[in-house]
Amino acid sequence: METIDITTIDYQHYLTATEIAAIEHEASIMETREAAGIEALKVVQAHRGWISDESLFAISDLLAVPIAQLEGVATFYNLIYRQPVGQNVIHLCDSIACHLTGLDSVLAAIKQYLNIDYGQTTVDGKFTLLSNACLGSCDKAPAMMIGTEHYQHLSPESAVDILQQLAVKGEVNG
Amino acid sequence: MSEKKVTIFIDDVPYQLSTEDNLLAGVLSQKLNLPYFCWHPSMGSVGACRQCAVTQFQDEADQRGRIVMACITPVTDGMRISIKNKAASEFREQVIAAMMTNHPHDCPVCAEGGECHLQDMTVMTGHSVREYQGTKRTFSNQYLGELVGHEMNRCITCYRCTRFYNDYAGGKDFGVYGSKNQVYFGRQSDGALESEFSGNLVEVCPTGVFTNKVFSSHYTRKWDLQSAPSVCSHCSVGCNLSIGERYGSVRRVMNRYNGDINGYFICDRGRFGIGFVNGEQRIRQAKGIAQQSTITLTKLDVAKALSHFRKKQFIGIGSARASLEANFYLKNIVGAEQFSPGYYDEEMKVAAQHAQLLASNKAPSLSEIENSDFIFVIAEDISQTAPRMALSVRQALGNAANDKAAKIGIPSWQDSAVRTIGGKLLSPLFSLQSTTTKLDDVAEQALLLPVDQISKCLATLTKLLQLSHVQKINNDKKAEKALKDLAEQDQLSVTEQSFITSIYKALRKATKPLFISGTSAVCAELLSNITNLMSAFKSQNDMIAPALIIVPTCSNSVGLLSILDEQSLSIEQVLAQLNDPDKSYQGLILLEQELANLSAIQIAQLRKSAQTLIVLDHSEHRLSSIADIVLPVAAVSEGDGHYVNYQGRAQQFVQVHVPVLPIQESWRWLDNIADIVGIKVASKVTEAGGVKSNQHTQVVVKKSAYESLAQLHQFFIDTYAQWPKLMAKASDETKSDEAQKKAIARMSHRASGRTAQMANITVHEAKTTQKIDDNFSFSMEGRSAGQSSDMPFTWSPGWNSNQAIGQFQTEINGQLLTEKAAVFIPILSEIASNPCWRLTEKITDRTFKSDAAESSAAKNQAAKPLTYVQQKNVYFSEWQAALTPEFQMLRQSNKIYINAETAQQAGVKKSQWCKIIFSATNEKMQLASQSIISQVCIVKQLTSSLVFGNFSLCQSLSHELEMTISLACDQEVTDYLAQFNNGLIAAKKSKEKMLERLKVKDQTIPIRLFLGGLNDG
Repeated sequence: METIDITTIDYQHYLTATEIAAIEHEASIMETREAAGIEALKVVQAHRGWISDESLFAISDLLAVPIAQLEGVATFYNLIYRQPVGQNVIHLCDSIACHLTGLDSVLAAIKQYLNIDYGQTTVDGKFTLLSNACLGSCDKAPAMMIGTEHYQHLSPESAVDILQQLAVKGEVNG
Repeated sequence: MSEKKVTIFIDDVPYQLSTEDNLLAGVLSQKLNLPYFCWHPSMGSVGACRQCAVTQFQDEADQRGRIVMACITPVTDGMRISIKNKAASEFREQVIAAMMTNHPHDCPVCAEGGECHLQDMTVMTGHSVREYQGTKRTFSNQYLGELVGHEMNRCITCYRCTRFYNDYAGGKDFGVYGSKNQVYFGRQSDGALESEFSGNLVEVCPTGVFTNKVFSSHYTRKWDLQSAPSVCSHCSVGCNLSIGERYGSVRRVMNRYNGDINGYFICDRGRFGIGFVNGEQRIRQAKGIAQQSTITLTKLDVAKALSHFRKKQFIGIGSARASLEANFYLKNIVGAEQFSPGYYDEEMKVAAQHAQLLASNKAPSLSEIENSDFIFVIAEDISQTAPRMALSVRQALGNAANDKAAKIGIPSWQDSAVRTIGGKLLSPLFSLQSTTTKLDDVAEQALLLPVDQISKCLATLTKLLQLSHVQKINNDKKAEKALKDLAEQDQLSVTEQSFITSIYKALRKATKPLFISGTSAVCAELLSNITNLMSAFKSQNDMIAPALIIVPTCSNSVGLLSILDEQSLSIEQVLAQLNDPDKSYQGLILLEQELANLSAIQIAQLRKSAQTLIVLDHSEHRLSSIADIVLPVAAVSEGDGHYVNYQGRAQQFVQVHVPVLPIQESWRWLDNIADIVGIKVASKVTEAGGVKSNQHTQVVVKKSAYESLAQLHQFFIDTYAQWPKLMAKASDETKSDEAQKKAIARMSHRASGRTAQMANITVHEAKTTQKIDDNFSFSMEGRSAGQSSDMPFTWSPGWNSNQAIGQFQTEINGQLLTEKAAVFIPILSEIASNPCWRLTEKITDRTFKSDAAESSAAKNQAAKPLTYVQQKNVYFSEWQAALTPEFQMLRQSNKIYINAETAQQAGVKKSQWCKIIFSATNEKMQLASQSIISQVCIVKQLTSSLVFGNFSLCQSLSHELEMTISLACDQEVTDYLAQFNNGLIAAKKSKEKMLERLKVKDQTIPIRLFLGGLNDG
């Protein structure tokens, strides 16, 4: 008979005091505790970069939300990452307007420059490339979003430039 | 449904539609075809799938119209719509086309094939050409346990599964993940589904994402199944089922619509518990009867074997899982004074109280439960003992949200709107239990107490009601004060007090209150306190008296109750009678009775005391292995009979398939026994008052054998005044050919032809098996299923899935077009009015302990004795269902629930493994003890005198226990887990073995051309 490894996640041991305090704050201003689920995911992601299974279980324990429900929230939003990502996550817009204005060449340039495909992270851990359904910049297409910054009217050259700058900036900061 | 109807025009034809429901339901009520996916008759509308598009016109002049979704459009007077209109039909076709871009073409290997709603709807829209050339998105599937299979690639994202599992049934371990074209329905990670209703996903899913895993493991297409209308044999609710069989083995169970009871849903025990019929534990041969012929057992063999019992006196023990007919027959073979229901003394007292409550309170049906606005569940975990009832309770709690929505004009069928406005608002549910239950999450208050304490709380509530009536208490403040005084007298804790106060307050506001309790706790005092409570309600007029349901344990508990009288014996008395030197009993007849409550010592005593032990049963148990004569009886799918549900509603289960001889219904075996032993008939000349009618009982020799259920019923009606009329008069044999012509086909008209019926043996067209007085034929020939009041299966042209049921309802969610009036069985007035059994005065020889509990309680007073309660379980709390290998494979390891204080004293923490030693001193001053290795769970508000868990304690331990907990050492845990895992492996092996045997048997089953007992092989 196959055995299943069971890990018991206790939020008090897994989450930091800062994270717990921030989540409790969000829960206190919501009508129900489960409503704080999305904010809790954001809090933990801000500290850890992504949401691991353990993080998910810990939040579920803390907010008393069924794990299935919390996973539904986590996987619905494309800015909650359920897998480890690089320092910079590139959300390249994949909508019709971008396709009409040269997305293909921008994508090819990015892929070539970073040597990764959609859903992958560079070896140095600096970039993750994801596609994104419409960023709302159809009048300024092609567009992409990295962190909180939107980049518009992209060309293969300008896209690579932006990535180069970010890579350097990351080195200065990090 | 309200009767407010308006005229609307559908494709220029006027129709009368109810304004209470949405347009889609209205259209379908008119038996018009309009495809849909996300809408469900009992789950309402969300407008997600865009499939039920119709064109709505502004007025008669409007030629263009606009497309609307019928399921989210209310019916208004004079509205004009078109279904046939080009725009709407093209729209519907394109919606399907889009869904089909990702739907795989694995129909030949899909268990849904041939009864797929998606297939039906695709055909209905006219989408018949594949245009999409691209790739299809793919998913990995999950392991969802032994009952439900998962194939996510087939998903069309209608959201019905999560709406049923989470919203309707309150499941927590199921969800929707991702977005856009990557939406996934399932659990967070692999694991068995936790809901008791998971099997409904199979019927709720319009296609083959969720399939019946047990059915798939020994599969046949719907059209090749032989089906009959049946009734669930696993609890007292009496859900209507359609059981399907092929080549002699039961393949699956589907829901059979009954608007009053199960509606569209059944629980997993009902759906998968049928597995016992095919199990390895079945008794297939008679024991103790010499067989002359090499082929089969004959009536002559039986007569010979039984011949030396001619006119001998037996004691008979009936059973709550045997049919009404069999119990009644047994009672009249052995005589009322020698009949026992197999209950021990306390259970007899409970039965008496139950009978009284049932006679004086009409129990509501499940659909009536759903109208309640206050529910109080007392000492019965209905979520496990009557799961379908708990599902109805859950729906009733939504009434508060429905009312809130109705106030702002949102109709109840607007499912997601009502849920949004309702939020966490629920109608009040109070739960007073000894274990945690699956309804606790929706209870306003749930309190855990030992049963005697629960009983005490009810007594206090009764006093409060009486007091408030006398003192004219009309506000909550006064009531609270009055309760405080009462509680002090009765020594109730603050928690108990506040619980009673809350109930009292909520009851004052309730317009349709309902109390639910049961017999699981086996506490007569509890039921007697409920009786007092109910009469307190009836003698006041400040509050509306609640409806009452008492949930007994088995499918035919109430049927058994209905034939008990003041002479019926308890188990203790049976033993005393057998050992009485003045009486000379030939022995004991056990009718489908495993006497699970008896300890091994008691079983041995019983065996020793009975000269001859005759066991009639379908599965092996402790008593069948030590019996002198064992007669193999038919399981529910193999025979005819009636069960009486918790309300007293008698329902017939119809033979689905022919069992292999010598298996036959227990009433047929009893008929063979009656031929020899004779039957007892009370003399028609009863004295005025009829008090001592038993003195006129005489043994008569039976005239002829009864070959059909209808004949047997006729005999009962002619002979016994108390027998209710349940079946139409048996037609005489000369007309049987005609009857056969009118019969309803058990097989679908599309069954692969007569030559395929027994293709496992021969492809020659065989004569159809004939059965006297059967309203159903063992063939695809006959009238179609829908013409019967009890449909063998659900099918209608264009509607191959169970959703065809809409075609047979008066209107959506209404009664069946062919529905017969329900028959309710009365409870004997002697019992109902005077629950005073002779056990109270006549028992002199106490062979079994019964006062032991009291004496040991007195001794242990200082040591703070505790009560251990075993949690009820949907899979294992019913004997027959628990034999199903798939359920055995889902067994969970031991868990014990204690409070934090006890845990701290013992030095154990949450989830740690501990060793618990339970001990009690019995009346012989012997120390009985049992040690259990179990994981610890901590429950906050648990009194230290109450402990519960999922394991059973041996019977020699009485209720008043002492418990020592310590941490288990590694070796003990390893040993326990190894033993536990071996159990799981054994269950898996048993399933494999069973499948292997069935698949071999598929090649060779004997043919029986005539039915009607033995001698026909």
